[in-house]
Amino acid sequence: MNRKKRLLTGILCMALCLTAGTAWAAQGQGTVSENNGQTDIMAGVVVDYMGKLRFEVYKEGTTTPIEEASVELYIPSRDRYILLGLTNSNGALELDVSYNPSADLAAQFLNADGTLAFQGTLLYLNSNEIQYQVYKSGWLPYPYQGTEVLIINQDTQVITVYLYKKSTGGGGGSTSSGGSSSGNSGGSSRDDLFDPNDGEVPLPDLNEGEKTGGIPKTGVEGAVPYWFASAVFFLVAGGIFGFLWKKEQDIKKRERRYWGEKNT
Amino acid sequence: MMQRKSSYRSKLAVLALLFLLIGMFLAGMGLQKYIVNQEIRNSYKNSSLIWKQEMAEGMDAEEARDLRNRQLVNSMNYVSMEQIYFDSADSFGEARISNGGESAFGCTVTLIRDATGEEIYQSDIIEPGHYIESILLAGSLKRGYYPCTAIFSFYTANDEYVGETARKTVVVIKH
Repeated sequence: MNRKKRLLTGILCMALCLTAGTAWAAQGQGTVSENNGQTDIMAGVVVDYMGKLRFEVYKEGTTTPIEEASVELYIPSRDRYILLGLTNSNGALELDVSYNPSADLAAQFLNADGTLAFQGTLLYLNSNEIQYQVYKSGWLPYPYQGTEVLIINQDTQVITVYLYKKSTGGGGGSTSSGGSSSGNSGGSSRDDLFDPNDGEVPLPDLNEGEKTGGIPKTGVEGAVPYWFASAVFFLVAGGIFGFLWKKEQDIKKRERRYWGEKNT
Repeated sequence: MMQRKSSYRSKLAVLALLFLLIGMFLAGMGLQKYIVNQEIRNSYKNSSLIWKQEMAEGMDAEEARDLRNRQLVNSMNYVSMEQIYFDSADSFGEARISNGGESAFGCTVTLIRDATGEEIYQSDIIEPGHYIESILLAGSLKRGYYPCTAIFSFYTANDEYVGETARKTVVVIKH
């Protein structure tokens, strides 16, 4: 009897757990899986894809990690790069990224009357290509900019970036990418690698959000050309006034001489 | 003859006066630029942000940017944001967006749907130690699972802009 009761209790407990778990997930308290670059597609439900992207930043030609390098992704709707994080002591930063599910994206965002509510730019490009930049003071290129095509169904996509110290000179950094967590972290010759960053692109001003411009180093930036031009105009005006004054003096001198001769 | 000379001198005097006025205008423009520059420099000096103070003292912009980014990433550690669930697109969803009490900055949150780039939510400033419990989305998303980028813009207590960082999140519309 006791055995029967225990069995029945056990079955009831399991059933309760299953019911509670389902209800809990249905209430939205559970988490939605976003592992391995894919998500479950349920009938009639719109699903965008997410995956992992890992940046690894190393000193050029070595596997020496560069810590606290800034990693930024380009957000087209903001038309600028935005900081996602800094690399850790292993020179790595792992991010979640979204993939284009190649579905009819526009149809997913509709007004109540069925008209399209938004016609903006994609966070990623249609080809699943993202734009990124990596930089750290004292290292070149500053910033390193690159693009990467996101591949669906990869465990973790790795982008390896190589930077070099300012003092050592050299070309323009390099990058490589790998489709797994093992990645392609080093050993590749920079000559073999695609380098999208032929020239350095200056980073926007630090106060970009305020649109105030950078700090003037000396305080007279921008003022000097105006002052120079004004000095030229003052000189010319002064020259003309001087010329007129001299003429005036000559006339007066002549008049005085004329009246003097007349009086004598 | 004398009258012609006098007219010539008058024209020259007018020209000189014109040059003088242009010179004064340009000098004024330069002075205005100088005053604006000084105001910006003073705003950096008096800023509560270390990287701005350091820049006013002559710190290199690259180093200042690193310093600012470290500050921003540190601030992100205090921000908490989970997946956001909505019963439907036009109902309030449980957001649980909080800015920890230890955070040095207030922040605003903007949600951008990755697939389309549209802005689906923009919050007011969340002061340190405060949180937003529920939010209402703009537009009308269908039932689904939407990866989004949450952009956090940070501000000091004096509403001075610090910078922005982004994080991925997911919006789930249940019905």
